[in-house]
Amino acid sequence: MSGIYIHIPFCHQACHYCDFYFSTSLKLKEKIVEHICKELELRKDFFNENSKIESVYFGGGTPSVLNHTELERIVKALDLHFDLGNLKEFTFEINPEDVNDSTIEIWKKNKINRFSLGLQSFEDDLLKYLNRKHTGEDGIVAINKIKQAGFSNISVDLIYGIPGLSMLLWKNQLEKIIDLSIPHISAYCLTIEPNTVFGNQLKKGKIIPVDEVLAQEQYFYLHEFLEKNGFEHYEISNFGKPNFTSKHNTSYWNGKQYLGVGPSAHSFNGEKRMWNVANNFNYIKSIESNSLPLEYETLTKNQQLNEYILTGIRTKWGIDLNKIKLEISKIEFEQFKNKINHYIHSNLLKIENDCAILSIEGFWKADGIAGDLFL
Amino acid sequence: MENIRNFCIIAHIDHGKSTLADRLLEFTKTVSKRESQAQILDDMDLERERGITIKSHAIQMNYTFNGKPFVLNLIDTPGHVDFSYEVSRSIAACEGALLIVDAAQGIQAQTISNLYLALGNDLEIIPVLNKIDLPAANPEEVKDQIIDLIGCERDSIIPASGKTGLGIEAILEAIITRIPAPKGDVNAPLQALIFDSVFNSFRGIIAYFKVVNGELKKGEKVKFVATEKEYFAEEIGILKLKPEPRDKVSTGDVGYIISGIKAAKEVKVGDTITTLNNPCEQGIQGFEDVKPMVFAGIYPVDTEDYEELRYSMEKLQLNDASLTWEPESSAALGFGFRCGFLGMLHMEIIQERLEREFNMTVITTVPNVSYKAYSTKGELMIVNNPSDLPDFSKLDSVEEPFIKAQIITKSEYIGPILNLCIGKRGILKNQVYLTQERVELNFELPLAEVVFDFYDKLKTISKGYASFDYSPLEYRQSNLVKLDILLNAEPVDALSALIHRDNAYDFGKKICEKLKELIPRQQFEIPIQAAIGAKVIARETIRALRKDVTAKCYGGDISRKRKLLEKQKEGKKKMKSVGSVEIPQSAFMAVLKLD
Repeated sequence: MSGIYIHIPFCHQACHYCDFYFSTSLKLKEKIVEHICKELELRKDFFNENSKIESVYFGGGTPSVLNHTELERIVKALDLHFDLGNLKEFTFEINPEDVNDSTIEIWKKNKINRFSLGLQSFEDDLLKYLNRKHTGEDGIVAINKIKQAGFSNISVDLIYGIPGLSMLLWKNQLEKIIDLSIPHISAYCLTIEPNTVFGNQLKKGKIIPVDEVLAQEQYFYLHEFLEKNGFEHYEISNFGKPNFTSKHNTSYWNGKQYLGVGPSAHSFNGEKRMWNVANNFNYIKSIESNSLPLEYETLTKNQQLNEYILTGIRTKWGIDLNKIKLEISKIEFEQFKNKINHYIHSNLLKIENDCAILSIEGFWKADGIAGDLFL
Repeated sequence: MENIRNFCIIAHIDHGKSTLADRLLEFTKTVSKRESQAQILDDMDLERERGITIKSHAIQMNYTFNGKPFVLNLIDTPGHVDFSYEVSRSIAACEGALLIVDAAQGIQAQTISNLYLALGNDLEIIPVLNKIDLPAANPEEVKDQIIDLIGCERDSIIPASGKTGLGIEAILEAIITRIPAPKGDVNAPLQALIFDSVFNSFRGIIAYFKVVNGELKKGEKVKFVATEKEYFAEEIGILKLKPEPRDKVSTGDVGYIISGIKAAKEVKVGDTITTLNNPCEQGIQGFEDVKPMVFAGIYPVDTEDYEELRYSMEKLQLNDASLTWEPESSAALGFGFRCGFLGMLHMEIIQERLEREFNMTVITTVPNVSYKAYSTKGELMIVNNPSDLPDFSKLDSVEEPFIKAQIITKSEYIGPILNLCIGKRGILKNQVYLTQERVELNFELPLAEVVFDFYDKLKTISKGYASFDYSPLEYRQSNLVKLDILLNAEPVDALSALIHRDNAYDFGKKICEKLKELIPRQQFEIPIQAAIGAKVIARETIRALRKDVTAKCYGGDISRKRKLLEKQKEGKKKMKSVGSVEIPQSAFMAVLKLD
């Protein structure tokens, strides 16, 4: 199973929390599209010959800033250079303000079958605080329109742990999601990254980060509430109804190969991780001269294992102890088991079918645990 | 003997000593261009990286002047105040010295104190004005300073540039014509002055010496006067870029001896070598047993590594006789060693060498000086570790060592420097204008205050335009209290410090704040308290860590996060568990990082 990720590095406006690579000037949009197409051609042999592409994911930035021609161009290039015969999931990230009859029409025409909607919240003042362009009502309208157009595979992004989001408000939001019968939710605790508006404000003491106790309470409630409503909590921040988990994202966590195209996109071919330059201008310049604007690192066996631990532990499938056992010495494995046992005793972890799986409390401390289990 | 010239170089750090030495070696073809690398004489990586000389070195050059062949022995000396005894012995082995002064920066305190040492040993001083090619050079003013200082003729100062090679020939000529040949009696019993030693893992200790009287022959039985140990001169020779064996080393010359000595402590700098057959009546004057000035605990992070640490310390002591240590134990850190160092730089070097050369991860505790405590019964106790201070009820008084400090700076920095020294309990004794802009300040200061962060602060407030040197004075009674630090209500003995009572509150508050910053959040809340006896004088709290996960982990985040976690894991390996609290190495040195 292989996937392709396309990064569209443009947004109408910058959210105060976001540290992904994007530009709010759309001047270079057409050029970038042209060069993404060219990069797809340059990298058409990225996968093994008989490797079928099962998922395509347009992320950003905001892919819904693409107009008809631009989207069509990229999809055509994808079709031309890769075997999409087995394509099962084609996800497109959209913002509510971009959803209307004509855009839906375009997306439908281009074989998109899954949407990831940047909703974040239903509360207008919170949306404003995050510097989102849409209102809560826009979100609901967008969801209904997509559903009316016949799409059922919809994911929405939610953010909790926002200063001002009380427990009561959070519960209301989740009720609304259930009422709208959305089958997939990505819910993120607000993280204040250094190179963002929030990051700067925090440094200057202008905002107070949310109470950790409240954020934790919101997370535990989220877990409990969604499981009660038929969702699987299959990754730290991801919840899906049966058959609605994201194939593309799951491939990241399962160590599968993926090709990332566009400025700042990352790729992985099983042993090498590559990343494109995070700058539109330099990206164009490099592709123009037929050279890939990327750097890479080759993972050692240990690094591969550590990444397996890091990503695996974040999922409900956990990490396969037999797989680890095969790769390390007896003594190392004993030490590894001791650490696992320690976490079992503190109720952060359990073993099922020889797999080490984090509890909900464990999920909340997954980074520390993963780092500790590193080989 | 008339054709031998022995000289050393006196210079402040960064005044271009090593580069100028490199040029001399190249000009005399002692090294070929091919063998040449920057700072030839500084052969420890640490020396090259820091641009300092830690060990003394010697190298022989051959140079023909007016048709006559000459042997020039350059003895390179350390430049830091921690090593002033070594410097004094190197100077004693010479008849002349190059005084190198940066034409832009002028004379510095360290230069002056070493210059006085040289003058005291009757060395012929050849002033060299280096870096004359710098745009910021101020040759006439610096010449004035030099003339003021040594009373030389203006035209005897040699303009030079280590970078371009300017003046090298003139320097060599001056060495030959101005520095006297060594004096001494070839027929007298052997007296050879040891000025340094190095450790070689195959040959054992190689001692460097200068023959003051007599001759040393290969295969002779020799005796070291101060240690009274006897050896067999297995190999002797002279020091070129590499040692070159010879059958004898004669009066006035500089050489080395290998005699199967295993440990550096058997070879004391300043000791005299003589022959067993025809021994000299007494050793060369000026020998001292070097005493450590600063003490600190060194502990393995992993208590299992104690024996390995001991082995590493033994190995280190093989080539650094000035390092002293004895086993000690700490309730917080387990088994380790209380080590004595010549000064702070020496301490840093030892810690760094343990980590680099022996791959040991160690914790160094807050450094302190040696105190004298008097009990109510009138007994004297030497206290090298704050936690050894007797109980308050049995304590009559405590004395701490004072030093005489000499600071040379530009007049515009006098104010801040006075403030700094007075804040460190210093007493201004004297203030002399060397030139209109340059001032020499003399203080009496408690050594303990200098040990902490004095030097860094001095450099900061003077924008680097202050140089500092010191020599020990006597012990004086002080109102000192023992400040204890408690983490999670457990006292951590390794964090205790002896502080002047007037500074204790301020110090306690700052150290609690600093520890809060340095100790990472853990699964539970950790109170930090500073206490004098049972009285808590300051408190901070490290909040418990609840969330330890970032929400997203997609394509690019995976490698970034892996690297981050790997780095954290490395950091954690260097942490010490005390009770239930994990403390990073840096926290044990927190005292040194207070503002």
